[in-house]
Amino acid sequence: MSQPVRQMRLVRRCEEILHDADVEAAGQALGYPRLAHHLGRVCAAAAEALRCAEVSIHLGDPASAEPGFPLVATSAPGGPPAPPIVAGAGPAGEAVAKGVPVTAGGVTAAPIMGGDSVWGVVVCAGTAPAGPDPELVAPVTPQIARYWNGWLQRRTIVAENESWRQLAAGLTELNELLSDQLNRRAPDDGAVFRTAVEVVRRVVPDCTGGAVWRSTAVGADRRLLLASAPGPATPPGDRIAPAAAEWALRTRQQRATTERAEIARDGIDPDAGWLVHTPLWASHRRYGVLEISGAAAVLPANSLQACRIVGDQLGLYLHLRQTLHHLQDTRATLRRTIRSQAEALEDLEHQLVSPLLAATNASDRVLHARRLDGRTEQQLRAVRGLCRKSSRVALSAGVFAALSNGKALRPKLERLYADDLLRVLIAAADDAQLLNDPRRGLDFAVERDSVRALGRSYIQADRSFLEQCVSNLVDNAAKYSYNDTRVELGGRAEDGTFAVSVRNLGLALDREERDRCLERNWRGAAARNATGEGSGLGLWIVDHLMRCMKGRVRISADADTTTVLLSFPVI
Amino acid sequence: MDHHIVIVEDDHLQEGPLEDQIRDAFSPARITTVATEEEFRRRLGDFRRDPPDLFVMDLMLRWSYPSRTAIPAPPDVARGGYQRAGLRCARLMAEDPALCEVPVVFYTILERSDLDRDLDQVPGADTAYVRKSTDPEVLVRKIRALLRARA
Repeated sequence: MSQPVRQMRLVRRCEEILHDADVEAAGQALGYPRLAHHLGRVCAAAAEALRCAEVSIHLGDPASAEPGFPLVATSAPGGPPAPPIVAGAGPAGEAVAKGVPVTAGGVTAAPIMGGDSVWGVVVCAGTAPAGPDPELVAPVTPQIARYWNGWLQRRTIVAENESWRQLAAGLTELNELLSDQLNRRAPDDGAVFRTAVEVVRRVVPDCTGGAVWRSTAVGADRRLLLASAPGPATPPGDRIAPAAAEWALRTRQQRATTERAEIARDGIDPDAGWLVHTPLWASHRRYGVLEISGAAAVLPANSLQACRIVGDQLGLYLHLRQTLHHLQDTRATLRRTIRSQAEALEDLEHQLVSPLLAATNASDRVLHARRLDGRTEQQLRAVRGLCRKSSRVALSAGVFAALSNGKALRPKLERLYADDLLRVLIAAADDAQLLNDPRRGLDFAVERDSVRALGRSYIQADRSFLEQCVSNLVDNAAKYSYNDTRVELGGRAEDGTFAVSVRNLGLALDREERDRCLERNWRGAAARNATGEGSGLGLWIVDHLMRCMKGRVRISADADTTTVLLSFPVI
Repeated sequence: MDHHIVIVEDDHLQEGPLEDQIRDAFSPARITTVATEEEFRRRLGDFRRDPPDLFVMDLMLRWSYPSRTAIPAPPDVARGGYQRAGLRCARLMAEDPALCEVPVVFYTILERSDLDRDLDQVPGADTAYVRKSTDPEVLVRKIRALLRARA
């Protein structure tokens, strides 16, 4: 068989073997044993084609710290372990050193080239006296180089995937811890920092550990103090913050170094080969620095990115922690303020109600005891109405104060019969008639028969609370009624309940507004339009007053008619 | 000389006594009353043609009384949340060449400290602030001083 034919057959055979290896690699884990198996088949094919005793392949792994080109595969496995090939030593070393095939002493060595670099060498031995023709061996080496390059790339991709998987799992664990700690009254920052360092350690190959520096107020200054250390060997507080950490915090940029002198200066383990400082910050606030180190002489490829991602999580945690702390402080201050304001409001109510009730009663006595001319009587009735209204506003302020202070309302329940309810409604209607602008032409009327439908039954309510509720509803009705319309006050009996009703024709609430109008401080568009400024507290207070009397507020609206019912169980 | 004074006040319980008091103090003054922000804007043309001598302006006015035919509030009113209507009225006057020299007395229940910034933003003529809870005579003195300065 001619040499070109032998050469072509060997190249084809190697192609088949390495193609099969590629197909198999798609479904299998990468590792040196499988690599050795496939390249061993290439060696065997070459040994057979070249008729030599042994063919071996030596490859230099860029990720390995081992010098030279170790044996990866051979056609004659089982022998004593061959030492790595070192440049210049023997024919193989010479081939590696010169980058060309060398034949000497029955050995032919052909370098495996990757561009201008030597990646390895194929060594054919055991043919005497001369080795196989280098021309036969050389065409195989580019195939091996391509396969080796592909294998290294696949290994890098697999390692990166594994690294991201580890990081994702680590971040999930860290976030669960952060969430748990943020829910606590006194979060354990030490546990958070240790877990963060551990996540980086798992993800970054060669990482030996790290620490977290916290920016802390010391007197008028802020300093970086060690908040957690990888182990008991370096207790917190024993180290001074390195200049690199200060720089990272000041500039909010990562800083990495492999300078041994700098690392030693920073007080890190003297065996450390690399050091990364990552600032911890969020929302323009600086909280500290994450410090991570490792033993290798070069910075691991994913170290900066992993530190950055974990550092961002820590920055966010510290920001949330501080924000929550401020919120808790603010809430406590607000509570104190609300309590003191509520107490002041209650005091004012007590001071106001007494003279106002006295003025109301005095007006009543004068109106009943003396015969007055029409104008004076009208004016005195208006004064009495204003006194009543002011008393109710003062009482509302007291109710608001009590509710804001978290106090329960204490109604003085009494039996109210139809005549009692009529008196409440007539007084409210009279006051409204007197106090509303006569130019608007509103008429406030009580449907007496509808109230008398209560018969001999009664309801239980606090008379003063009920007066307040009715007065509030009548005020609202007046505000939202069209001019020259009637506001009707009455009663309605249904299903074991009796309701006091206030109906008016005017701006009505739509369905969504009806659902919300009992909320505190809520004001609908119509309310704002019609009455300008207001607090949105009226119906909220009515709702609370009714609830404390075991009653309820119901609101219905149809086109521009609104009916509000204050409903009580009938007894 | 008969003064023409406009009272912008939406609460008739306050407007009536206020009108009586000003009429008594400045008799035979001509008093015009305006009850809502919508009415003020509607009558702005009248005021332009016959500028009054002074406005007494409540700050917390309603836009209008409920009505099936009510004019919807313009965007600047809705944007302001319907609040401080009196300030909007004063700004409209300040932007009007015929009314920018007419003095305005803000007569309100609001405290001065809550209004400082708002009042600073009202350009134009002389303005004064009187709180409703003060002695009514203070309001009369303030009106008299402004009318004298205008004369």
